[in-house]
Order: sequence, then structure tokens, then C-alpha cells
Amino acid sequence: MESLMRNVLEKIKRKEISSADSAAAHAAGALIMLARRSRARSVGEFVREVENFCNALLEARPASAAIRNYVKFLHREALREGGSLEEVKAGVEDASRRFIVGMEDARRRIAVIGARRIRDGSVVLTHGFGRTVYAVLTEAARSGKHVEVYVTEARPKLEGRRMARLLSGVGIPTTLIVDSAARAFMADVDVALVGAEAIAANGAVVSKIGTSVIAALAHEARVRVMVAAGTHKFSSETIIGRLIEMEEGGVEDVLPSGEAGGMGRVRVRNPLYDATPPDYIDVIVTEEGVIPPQGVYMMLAQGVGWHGA
Amino acid sequence: MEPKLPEKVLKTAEDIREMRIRGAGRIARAAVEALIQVSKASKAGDVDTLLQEMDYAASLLLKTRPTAVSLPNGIRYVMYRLNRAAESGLGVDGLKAVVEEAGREFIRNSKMAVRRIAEIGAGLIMDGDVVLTHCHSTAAVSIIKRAWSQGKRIRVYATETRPRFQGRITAGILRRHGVPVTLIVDGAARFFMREVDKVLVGADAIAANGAVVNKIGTSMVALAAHEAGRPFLVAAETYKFSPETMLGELITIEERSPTEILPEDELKRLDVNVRNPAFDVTPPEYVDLIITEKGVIPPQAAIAILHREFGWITPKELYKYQTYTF
Repeated sequence: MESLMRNVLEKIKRKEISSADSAAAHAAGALIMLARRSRARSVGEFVREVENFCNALLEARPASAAIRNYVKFLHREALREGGSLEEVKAGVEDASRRFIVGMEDARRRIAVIGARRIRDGSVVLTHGFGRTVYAVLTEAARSGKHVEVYVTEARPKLEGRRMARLLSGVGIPTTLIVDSAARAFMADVDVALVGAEAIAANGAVVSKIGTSVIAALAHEARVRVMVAAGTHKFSSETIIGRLIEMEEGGVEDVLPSGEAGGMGRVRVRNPLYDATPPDYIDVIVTEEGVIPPQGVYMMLAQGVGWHGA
Repeated sequence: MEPKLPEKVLKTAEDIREMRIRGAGRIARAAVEALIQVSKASKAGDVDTLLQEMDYAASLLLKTRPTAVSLPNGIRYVMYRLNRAAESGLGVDGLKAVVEEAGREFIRNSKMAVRRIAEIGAGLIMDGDVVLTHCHSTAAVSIIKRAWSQGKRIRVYATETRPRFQGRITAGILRRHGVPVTLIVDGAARFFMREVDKVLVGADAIAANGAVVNKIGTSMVALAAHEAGRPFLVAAETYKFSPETMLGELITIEERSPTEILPEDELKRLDVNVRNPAFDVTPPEYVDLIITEKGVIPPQAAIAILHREFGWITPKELYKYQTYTF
């Protein structure tokens, strides 16, 4: 059991699960397993197991609003009230399941709403891999629109290859390019569509490194930037001034040790995320509807969407 | 009948094509050196045969890299002088001497250009500056090295430069010179721009309007610099200035093999389209200065450089010695 939990944490930490939704779903899945298999003899012991896992989760992917919101949801729904060991275990399992189902529902609704904003014949540029973005693109194609996609490979992990493979697999004409070729192709693009790791109260979107420069390029070329993200990506703590913590990834991902020979002590920095300012974002498509980035605060303050659950 | 060229010359052409010889200056010098070799090895008994051999070699070398501007500029430098000498009635031996002399002159000037640029460019780098560079440019690297040797304590961000990772070459060279270097992915250029004081890149070609053709991603870095109000400096020898653009020619952007981005087996397996342009165009609005061996100019003065360096070019001459499309 413990090795399974460690394994999930390790995968999330090493960003082998690149999509934010998938990472949160894996985390929730691991806690469902824990609730079923834990040998804890008391409520206190079980809650400690859950808490330990949650803390490790937050550390493994501090930028992820989905994980943070999941942990908060779990506390509110399953841990705060207490009860018998069986009740608390059932509560953890139920809350985790609802969170997973909630994300899936959100993704389906976002896909439908987002696809409406993509015109027939559009050329869409996207960066790397994201489940929500994938859902929007496939929904647009399914609804009969002809869509062509440029996908950036997304260094250093090259998740864009996976996106290109999946999109090509469902018959969407897809072209893979290096990240820095985004400007060279921007003139052909109608919409830039990206996902999010976290969205701040001011509408700034924290996303995969390289997103903000693509948004700047789109802005320069008067190409619309659409962010597809459920309200579980909204970071309510930013209202009280919390800055979203953006961790860095491993040096090896950028410069494999085999390549570093003879280079001397070259330092490597590998920031995983960057922040796209709200000025470059046209709309954010949530499961509750389309909002301008400035609408994030309103939804957070009014408790619309996930934050009102 | 195709003239037979020396093995060494064919090898040079191959090395340029396969990017084993990199950097605009080196490419031009290697091509000019190859022309000297062709002339030296030629067993031509008359002027026409020699000219045919030289024309053939020139066109073969030109085809190796359609985007490189230094390459046709170097070749024209030699061929123009060769043809002018032939028109004046020089014999085979005299012409061979002209090729050798013109070729050596070009190579000398070109090598000196980088040293001059290093000297001039280093003056623009201040103690404590954080410099971001993209790809690998001999001129840009020599400016940074010179500034470091002058005792300026600078730091460098080098973008890795997909797909061929030339940024790693830059990082290695600077590191060995003692300069603190941080390697980052291309997409992180905007992320780090706030810490950067100056952006310094090389160029593959400069157009008449001051637009800079350079490694793919340069224009993206330029935008990030422009957005953050950071000076964007370009180091370019005057033989990088493209005379064709004066006549309205657009610079061709070479697309390279998709296998540079996706390994062959994955390319087959994935059935994915790949586009791999080698260069992009940075508009002059994003360029603050171009550092040449003749001095520092604003991009809008590119036309002045072109007039001064290549003012004698007629469309007919361009056609013959530059584009070689005949």
C-alpha cells in the first residue's frame, strides 16, 4: 500500500503525469485505495495517514490549484466532521470520487462550451499536452468543424509529441513544431488554446513553461488566446495575497548528464511554469461558462463553480 | 560535361550541407577556401575551361545552404574579381593568382570582422550585466568573451535552442572561458527576461530594412525583450547583409528535416506532420542596435551598409554571382 502511495507521489513529483487534472485524479485515486486498504486501527491513525499523504502531495506539486483544491475539499467533506473509522474512510472515498467525477464533468462541459468558440476551418495553436485542451479540440472536430492544430513539443518533457499523436489519431490534421517556432507560424493561427495549472484572482494564468511567451506572441499578432480550465484550477488563496509557488524541475530533463561532458559547470534552471498576464488572455472557458480573466475574482468571491461546492 | 572537383572540395560542400561546418563566417570562409582549392587543382588549359570549373564549383557550394547570406557574399567576392580579371584578358595562371588573392583577402577580412565586432560590442556590455543569448553565434560569443576578459563580471543565460541544441555549444564555450552560464529551455526566455539587462544574438542575414534573419526562436526572444523593455543587440559582420533584399528579393527560410524534431522511428509510428523552419525573421522594430565590424548601427541604417559594401551590384550581377539560379 505504502509503495503504491509513494509511487503516485513520485510520478506527480517527477511530472510524469503532465496534465494537472490527471495528477489530481491520480492523487484522489490513491486516497480511495488508502481508504479501502488502510490497516489503521483508529480514526486518528487513519486521518494522520491521509494528512501525511496530502502534505506530500502539496509539496510534490505546489503550483497545482487542482491538488490544493482537492485537499481542501477532502478536509471539508471528510475530515472535519469526524465520525467512526468506517465513516471517515467512506467519507474520504466518497469525497475523492466526487472530486474525480467533478473534474470529468467540468471537462465535458468545457469541451462543449470551448468548441463553440472555435469556428469551422480554424487553425488552433496549442502548447504541450493538456486533457482539457484535448477535450475541446476533439469536441470541435466531433461537432463537424474542420480544425487544424499546431502543437509545440513543449521542452523539456516533450509532452507535445503525445498531444500530436493523440490528435492525429482521431483524424485532426496536426503539425508538431519546436516551441520557439511559435512566432514563425502565428500568422497562420486563428486561436491559441492553452490549459492551466492555477488561475489567480487577477486572472493571471499559471501554466506550462512557455505558455506566457506564446500568449505574448498571440497578442502581438492579434490572435485570440483561450484558456480552457475548470474552476477547480482557481486559486482562492490568491485573494488573500498568497503567491502561487512555481517549482522547478530536474536539471537532467534539460541537460542529460551524458550531454554535459566537457561543458564545465554550466548551471541549469528548469522552471516548470510561467504566469501569463490577464492582458494577453481573451477568455477563460470554465464549466460555468465563458469569462474574461477579470471575471475570476468575481467567481471566487461569489463562490461560483467549484468554490461554492 | 560536369567538371571533376577535388575530393577536398566535395567534402567541404558535404560538411556545410550537413552542418558539420557551422556559423555563417566559417561557412563563407570554408566555401571561399574551397574555391581557392578548385582553382589551384585545376588542370584547365584555357580560360573558358577554368571559368566553367569555377562556375560549377561556385554553384555547387551555393546550393549547400540556401539561406546563408555570407556564403553567396563570399563566393561573389571571389567570382566577381575572377570574372572582371578574365574580361581584362588575363591568362589561366594570372586568373588563378586573382582567385587566391581575392579568396585570402576575404578570409582575412572575415576573421578580422569578428575581432572588431568583439571589441566594439564589448563596449556595450557593462560590469554586472546579465546577458541572454540564443543559439550559437561566434560574433555574439566573442563579444561576451571579450567583455569578460576586460574584467566585467557578467552572467549569461543561454537558451538551449531546439531542435539541435546549439545553446549547449555556447554554454560550453563560455563556461570554459570562465563566464557563469545558466542553460534554460527556449520557452523560458520570457520567464527570465526580468533578470536580463541585454539580449545579444548573432545573425544569419540582415535585410535591407534591418530585419534580422537568425535561428528559429530569435524573434520570440526579441518580442520578450521588447515587451520587457530590454535592449536587443545583434552582432553581424557586414557580409551577412543581404544585397538581394535591396532588389526586393525575400530571404528564403530553409526548412530542415523533421527527424531533427522527432526521431525517425517515432515519426513513422506517430503519423504526425512536422514543420522545422531553421530561421525566423525579427522585425527591425525589436532590434535596438546591430554591431558590425564597421561600427554600431541602428537597424534602419542597414541600407546604408548595403550601399557602401555592395553598391556596385546590378540585378544582372546578382543573378549570376548571388542567386546562381541559372
